[in-house]
Amino acid sequence: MHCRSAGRLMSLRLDAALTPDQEAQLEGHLERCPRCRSTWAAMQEVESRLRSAPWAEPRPGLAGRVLARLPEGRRSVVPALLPWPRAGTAALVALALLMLGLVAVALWLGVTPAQGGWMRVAQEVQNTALALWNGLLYLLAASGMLLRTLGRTLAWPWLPVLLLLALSALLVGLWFGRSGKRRP
Amino acid sequence: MEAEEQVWILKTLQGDHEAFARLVTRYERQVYNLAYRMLGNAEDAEDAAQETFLRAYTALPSFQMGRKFSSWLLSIAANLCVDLLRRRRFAWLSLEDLSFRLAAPAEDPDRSVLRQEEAGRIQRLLDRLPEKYRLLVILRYWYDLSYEEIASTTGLSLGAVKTRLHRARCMLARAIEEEEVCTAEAPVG
Repeated sequence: MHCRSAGRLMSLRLDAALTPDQEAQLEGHLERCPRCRSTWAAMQEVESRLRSAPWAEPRPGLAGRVLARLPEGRRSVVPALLPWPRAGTAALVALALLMLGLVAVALWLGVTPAQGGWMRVAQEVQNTALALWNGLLYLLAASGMLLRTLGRTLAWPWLPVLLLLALSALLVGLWFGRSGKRRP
Repeated sequence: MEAEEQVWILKTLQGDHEAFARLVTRYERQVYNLAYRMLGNAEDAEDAAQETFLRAYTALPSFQMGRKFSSWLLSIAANLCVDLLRRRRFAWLSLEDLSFRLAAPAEDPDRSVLRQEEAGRIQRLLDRLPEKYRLLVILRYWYDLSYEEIASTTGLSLGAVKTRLHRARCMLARAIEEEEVCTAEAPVG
């Protein structure tokens, strides 16, 4: 066995990773080679010093110093939306109430779409908004289907636009949503 | 991963700073010790430990729940320390610093205290190792990580871990042999 191979085996021996065969080879080499015996003694000394080395301890209050440097808010991410942040939950409830209120008012007034003139533009906007709105509603499964039906039966041109705006506000709220807990 | 730790991570992802503080408290000693052993002084270690936790906070959304949090955190600390050492080495090459060092080698107060202790001798030994070897020695001896865990933390192959550990031990053994020769040659009295 060469000294270089013996050196590798010494390192493995320190990690108790030698096979019995390798153990015997190394032992035989160490008996014959004074230089490797000296290296082995030094390696054992290294091992002993490192094993007894103390841990360096941080000054007390490291967590506080880290927290003081954290950015003010965290952007919510998809996995973090469950359970919903408080701001997100509040925005969702507000949206639901807004939608119910608008639906109720529209039904109560019995408004109908205006015909001709600039209202055609509004009608186009309404159609586009309805299409987008419907797409989003499909994602909301059963509750979405109900709202879609309501949206189609309602004739007030600006209702879907308002709902889209409210939804956008909700998404922005969720994106920047933060927990109510704050560091003192 | 512990369920408690998983809850803290999820709460941190929702912006709960208190939950993150618990994570910091649990791992501050591990992170700080790694930084201290890599960088060799308390001030740099404190800065590196803080920076590690800030990076962890920012990168937390990408953390995979199946992974061991401590390994992930230590890998952030390790990469940061290696970067700092490289920058430091580069900074030392500037002419201003070089002339300053040649004229009057400054002694860090922390270091001068440490030099009087066994801990200082160990740190001096570590400082002699190139950073890529130093990191493995620290992970092996202070954190008692297996070859596989070291490979996972550092992103190295198992073979590279074994080779680097072996080379590091050879370097340290040579350093100790030199130390002993110097001690033996030193005049008495």
